[in-house]
Amino acid sequence: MSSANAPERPAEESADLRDEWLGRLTTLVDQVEGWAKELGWFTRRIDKKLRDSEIGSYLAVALLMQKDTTPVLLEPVARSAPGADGVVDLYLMPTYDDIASLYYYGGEWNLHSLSHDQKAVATIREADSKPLSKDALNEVLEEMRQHAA
Amino acid sequence: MPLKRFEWNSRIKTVELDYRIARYAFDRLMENAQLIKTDFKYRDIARASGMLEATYTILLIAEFETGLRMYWETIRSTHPKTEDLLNGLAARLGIPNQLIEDAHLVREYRNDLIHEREDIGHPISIDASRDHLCAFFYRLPPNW
Repeated sequence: MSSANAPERPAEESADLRDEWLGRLTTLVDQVEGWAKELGWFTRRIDKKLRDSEIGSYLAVALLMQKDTTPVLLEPVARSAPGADGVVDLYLMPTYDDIASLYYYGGEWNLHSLSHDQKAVATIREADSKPLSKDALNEVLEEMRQHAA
Repeated sequence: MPLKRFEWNSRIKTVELDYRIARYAFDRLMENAQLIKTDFKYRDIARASGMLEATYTILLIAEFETGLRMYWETIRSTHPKTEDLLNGLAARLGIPNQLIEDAHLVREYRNDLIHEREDIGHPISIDASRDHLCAFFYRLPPNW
């Protein structure tokens, strides 16, 4: 009898998909953590439990970053979404305000951020986007910090 | 293992995300109701759409309260009503007054919705509710 969290795919195929996604995620967290430290943010890795209909339940890594009194969380959301092979959100903590989302497509992570003077969009996916870089991350983090202050 | 505080805060946030998905779907359905062949009447779709945010706000505070009770059970063997649960935790954890008041506003709004009171005092949007509840929950210990 299968459990509610059992994946729909054969075990070996599920493991391959999970490993590929966790590898992509770990590379992202390594990169963001390195940049955040260089930009003066304290960082801490935490586990997050995710459920996926295709690959079952698993633990993924999230990254808590803090500068002065502003905590920010980089949290994995989904292994796949329409048009993307991975979604990770950036939240202003502790209130979990949406600030930006990262989508993996075109072989790279793309940062979709909603600046406070930008007109409203239906989803953050429709917001302005740019390839993830240290400068792009810094821009978003600093805007978060100023907004929090 | 995941830290329980983050796990529960994430679950609260997920309710809001679920609401946004449902809102998006309802809006598309409303826009195309004349084109889509369905057994549903337009007025029923509109009624359900109008209740959507309230429905998810009730789910939001249910998730919040469940998380609080899971923690409470580790420190006390009592089963206080929600108002006392918030105050009891606030007293033990030194939670600032503003966060307590904000959480109570959401709790009172939930009560108004459940009891279908005609004069709802202070309607609170779901993102403001999530903001208040996550800020309160973040004052719990990271793990228990």
